Amino acid sequence: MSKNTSYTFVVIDDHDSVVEGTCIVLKGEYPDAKILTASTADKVESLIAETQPNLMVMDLSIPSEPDRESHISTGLDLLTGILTTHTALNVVIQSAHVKALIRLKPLIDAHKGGFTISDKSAPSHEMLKKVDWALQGLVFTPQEMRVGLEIKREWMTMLELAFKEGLTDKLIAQKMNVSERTVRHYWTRTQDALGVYPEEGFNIRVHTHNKARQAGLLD
Amino acid sequence: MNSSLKQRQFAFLKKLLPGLSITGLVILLRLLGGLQTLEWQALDFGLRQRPAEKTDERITIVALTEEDIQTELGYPISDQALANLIQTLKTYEPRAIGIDIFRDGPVGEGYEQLETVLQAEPQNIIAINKIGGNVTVDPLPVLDESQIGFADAIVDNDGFLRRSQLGEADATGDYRFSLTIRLVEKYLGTKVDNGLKNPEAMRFGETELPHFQPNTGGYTWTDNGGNQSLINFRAGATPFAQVSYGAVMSGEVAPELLENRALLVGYTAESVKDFVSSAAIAHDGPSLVPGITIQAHAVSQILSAVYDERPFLTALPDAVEYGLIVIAGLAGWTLAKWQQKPARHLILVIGIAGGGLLLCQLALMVSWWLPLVPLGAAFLVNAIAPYPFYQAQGQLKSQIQARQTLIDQTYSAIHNGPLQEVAIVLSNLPQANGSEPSQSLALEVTEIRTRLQTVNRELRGIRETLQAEMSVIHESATATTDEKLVLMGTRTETPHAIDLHMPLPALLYEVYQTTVARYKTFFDAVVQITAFEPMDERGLSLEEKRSLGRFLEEALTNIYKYAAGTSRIKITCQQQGDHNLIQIIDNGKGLKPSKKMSVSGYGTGGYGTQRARKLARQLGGDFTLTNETSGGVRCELCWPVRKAFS
Repeated sequence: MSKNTSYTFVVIDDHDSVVEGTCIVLKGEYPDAKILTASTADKVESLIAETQPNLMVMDLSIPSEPDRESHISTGLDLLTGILTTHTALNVVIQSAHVKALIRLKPLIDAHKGGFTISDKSAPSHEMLKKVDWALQGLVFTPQEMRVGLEIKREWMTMLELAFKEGLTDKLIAQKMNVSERTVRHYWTRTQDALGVYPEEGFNIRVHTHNKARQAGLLD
Repeated sequence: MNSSLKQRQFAFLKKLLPGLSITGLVILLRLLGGLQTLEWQALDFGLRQRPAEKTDERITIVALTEEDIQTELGYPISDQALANLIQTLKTYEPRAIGIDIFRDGPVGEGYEQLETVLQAEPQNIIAINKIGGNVTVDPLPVLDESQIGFADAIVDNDGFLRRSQLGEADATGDYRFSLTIRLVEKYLGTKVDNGLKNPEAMRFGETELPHFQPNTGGYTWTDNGGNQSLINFRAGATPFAQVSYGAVMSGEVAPELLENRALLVGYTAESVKDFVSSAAIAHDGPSLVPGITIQAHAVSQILSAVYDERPFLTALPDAVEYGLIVIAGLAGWTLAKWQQKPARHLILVIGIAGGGLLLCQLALMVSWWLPLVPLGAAFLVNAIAPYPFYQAQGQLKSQIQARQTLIDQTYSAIHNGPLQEVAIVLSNLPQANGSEPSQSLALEVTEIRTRLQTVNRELRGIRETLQAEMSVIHESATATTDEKLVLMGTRTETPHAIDLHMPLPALLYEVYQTTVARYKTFFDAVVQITAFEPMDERGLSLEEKRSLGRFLEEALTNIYKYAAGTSRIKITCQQQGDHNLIQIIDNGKGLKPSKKMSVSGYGTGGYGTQRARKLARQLGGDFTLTNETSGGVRCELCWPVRKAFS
């Protein structure tokens, strides 16, 4: 992905030092990007509506207004609103409390943009990887958000059409009566469910095929 | 933004609601006037119970008694006799004389003499007229305007008099003053003036007379035409000195009773019928009181206020009154909620009510009229009506608690006894490997192992079954106010509450997520193919949605408990044409019709099956439980969409 495209990022965190650190790391990787920041929830909706950013990096534990205490519920409410209204926005969640996100799973599954979760204590290149994935429209959720392997029925249909009948995305889209874009959306969600993510030098479709077979989905 | 705080506040308000609504009814009743008569009676009773005040030394009643009429006066008193009486009284130099006798023309002999007497200096005689009602009575034409005061009385709807009319416009629109005001003017030697604090009120010097409002105290929507004031009746058996016509004319009256006083001349004779009802004065309860006595009370309260700063009868502002009523209601409700034992509750209620009553009476003794009746009503109804309900709820809760304890104890007994035993046997079973001498023995060992593992799992499942049953019972005990479906979390987690207002697919998805998380170790090895599609839930009650959530929970739990070997499940929740469908298919060992499944299984008519059948009947649909041809069980609930208006 070209890093020359001029991106607009929004960084939300209640700690100024974290915001600053995140900005420095992002600037290093995306020198042309315009980076906006917010430290309280009340500013975020209007900021996003006005600037239409490509990506939002967000901490869940934030205060609703200045001089209020930080709460995860505040971040969850805000995120729920954003996922509902800005369906194409790419989102990176920086948080240690991923379990709180389980309730948002249906929204995350339905979200059209990328959605990745990055551990706050992880090194900066991990964060940059999650930013890159989110910008590619991929999904990454940690294993502890899941119990077993949940596959939506339509993902299953897609997997069968792709790997049993060997169809292209275009033909799958025709058969399933959805857009190609939707099929790509299914792929990213299925890959997250199977724990398959882009790796330098590996073909992700082949990887997905292997994992699906291992899980017994193609029996 | 902070939704959990808002929710908590909302939940708190919701808990307060029953108390507030009972109080609201009391307030509504009061606003509609339903308590007015009771409040009047309470006021009269309270006023009667006050300790006696000393006899007023500024006022004397000169009574035309039954005896005076019978012996020498006759009725009506002639101009001659009246002139003589006034002349005699004037020799004692009173400050003012009020003649509470209607007279608009000559009666008998001596009219000219009466005219002279009325006009003589000092001109301190007041006569009465009547300006309102169907019949008006004019005063004698010789009188100066300052010598005329009206004697119209205002009586409340229950026939009792509690207010004094001070001023009012007459039929021609001229503003007139009452006998009370005119007499006070003459006594004080000053003119009545407009109030300084309240320009609508009347004022003598520093003293402002309280201006009666339509909602003053216990009154509701009362006509306060003109200028009225509540009468703070002078307490005691002899509030005023009273002398008879006969005694005055024969010179038997002590001069100090007449000298420098305001004298009120009027009939007390029963045959004349110048009486009104009052319950606030007489010591022996409600009775008829001569009009002249009422006039004396009205004049006395003003003079005592001017000279002695004796307070007028005052009510609290409406907002304060209603604030107190809400507080009394909440106090009662809190007491009911406290759930003391009945005897103690009763004592507390009586004690607090008695204390309140005493407080109101003490306030009345310093002339504050508190809303005793609505306060008492709000407190008592709140303290008594919900008490049995809260009591029953409390008992139910403790019963459930006791049952929960029993379950826990039973389970730990099972856990520490049989389960340990099973674990030991399992670990001591020889491994089925190639070194076993006999192939058939190895097979047998494997068979035993599998069976023991099943026993192990089923025994462990009992606790979950009982827990689920408990939460259903608990829910039905508290469901009246709770619009949530409560699911047990994993063992260490607190129960998970799901809002029943959310759309059915989202609700079912949360049930699915929570339930598989509860049996994480089992479902981690299971592929779950899911479809939670939109469903037409028109006409579904919250209770039915709750039951549908329970249905899915139970179906998933049963897979964990009975469907050994399951590696894949398929959950489908969607609308199909004019039906809604919840379907759960596993690929486990399938139903064994011969084997009785334990308490909650969907196998052979356990609780779970019964509940599912009942739900299906209620929804007008079908519940089916069948073996799949490929192995595994299909559990399905299908019901028709309820069309609106059909």
